[in-house]
Amino acid sequence: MSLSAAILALFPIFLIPAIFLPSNRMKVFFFASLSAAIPVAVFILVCMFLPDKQLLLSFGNVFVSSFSAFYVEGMTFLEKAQVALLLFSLMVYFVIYLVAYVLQKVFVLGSNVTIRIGPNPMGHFLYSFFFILFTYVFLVVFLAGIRQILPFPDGFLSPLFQWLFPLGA
Amino acid sequence: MDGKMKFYLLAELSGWNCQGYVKDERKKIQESESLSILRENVRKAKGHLSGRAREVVRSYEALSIDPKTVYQAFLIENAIDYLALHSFPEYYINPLAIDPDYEGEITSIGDLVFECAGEEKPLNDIILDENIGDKVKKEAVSVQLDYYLSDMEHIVSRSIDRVKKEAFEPKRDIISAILRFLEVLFFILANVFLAVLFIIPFEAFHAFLFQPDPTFLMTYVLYGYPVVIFVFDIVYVLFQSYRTRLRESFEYARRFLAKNADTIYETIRQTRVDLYDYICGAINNRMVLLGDIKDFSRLKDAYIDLRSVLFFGNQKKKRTYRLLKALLITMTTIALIAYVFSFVVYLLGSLFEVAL
Repeated sequence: MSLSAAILALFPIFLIPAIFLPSNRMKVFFFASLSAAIPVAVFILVCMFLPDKQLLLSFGNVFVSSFSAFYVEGMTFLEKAQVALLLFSLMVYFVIYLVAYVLQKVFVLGSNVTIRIGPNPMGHFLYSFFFILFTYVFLVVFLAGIRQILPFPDGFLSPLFQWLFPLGA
Repeated sequence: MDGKMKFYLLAELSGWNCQGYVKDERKKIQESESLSILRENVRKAKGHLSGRAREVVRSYEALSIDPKTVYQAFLIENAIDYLALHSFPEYYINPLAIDPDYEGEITSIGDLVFECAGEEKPLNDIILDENIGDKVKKEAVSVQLDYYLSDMEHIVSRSIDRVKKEAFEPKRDIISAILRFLEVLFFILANVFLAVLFIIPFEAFHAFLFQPDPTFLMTYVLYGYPVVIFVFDIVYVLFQSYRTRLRESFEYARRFLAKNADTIYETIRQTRVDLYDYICGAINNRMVLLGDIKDFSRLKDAYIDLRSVLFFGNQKKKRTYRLLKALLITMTTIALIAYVFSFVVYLLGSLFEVAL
């Protein structure tokens, strides 16, 4: 069992709701995942791509010890900081997602799915596409970033993982 | 009443035993054309939400075709004849509450039966009748539309009650809510534990990933648990997605009614006014109404689908729903057993730092 195979096996769990959920629910999940994905993505990109990874190092100085239970032997400080960053981002993602989801569920009415205009397949496809982008793709990026602490070999997606998060960074 | 029945009725009232005739009458009623027409019409009426359609169905179900006396036979026969006549769609269809997908024999509001000047006849006949004044016609139309309006308001209030009942019925809702909460909680716990199994470093445990040993329980945890949870996750999201799809009309109606019930009543009242103006226009111009039976329907409105609210319970009887639910219950049980087993093995292994 490789990480690549596990990632592919997880895809149906996101695809099934993307296909079967009605438009109103899809919109709610889309906006909740969008609300969570954008700040988390910006935060990760800024940390990972600032020159000399200053922000990542500063983050690591504060948070590396909080996630010490997850590290394996032989990890550099920068790799630990990267794992800590991703685990912290995961928590932030879930919190923002949950808050956005609950707010939408309470306040957003949606539209009548049975109105005689008919379904909007393109709209549903776009909402589903972006829902998968902001959930499944984020999960893939997350797993690629923490792959060092996972007991799996990378598998056939190793070049992708290496491109996203080069080991030894 | 035919001559023979009159004779036996009088005979019965005079104290004669007419049981032989009652038996024949019972058989005659059961084989009558009126009863077979009534049965067929009731079958069609069951799909309509209007008050008169429901009244026809109720009256038919309350009918007991087992007369004990000639008098009872007389009453039953007349009841069947009356019901059979009034079980046709033109008597019970409410143009405000007709299903927009209706494809029956009634195609126009002009085909509906209105009572005017003491007589029941189709609206188009009333419009073209030169012997009745326009004022009398419009009064008759107004009375009938008031009935349609109250019927539609009753449907809306039944929908609101139904939604409230589904949301707030004390016992059943608390138990369902707890079960749904436990279901979601287990889904989260099972997947979090799956992540913990592979993310938290535990060398003795992870060694079995590369060198599985069937004599160690941890091998079964590492290989068996992910497979079980993966299948459980697929079934869970499939069921929840399908269930959400079925419930969406109802859930949308519930959210809408919670905030905008007044808007619905206002819309229905305005539709009644629009329909009255439309029919009066036809009366003034002596125009026959054609092909407009669904034009004033408010059953599936821009706002909510009242039909889906009132027939909500039927969706749970669908075969796919029951199949998926059975599958989910089965997989949840298996996943729960796998979870408890794996959790105990992992906990003991990590506490004592040994391979089990």
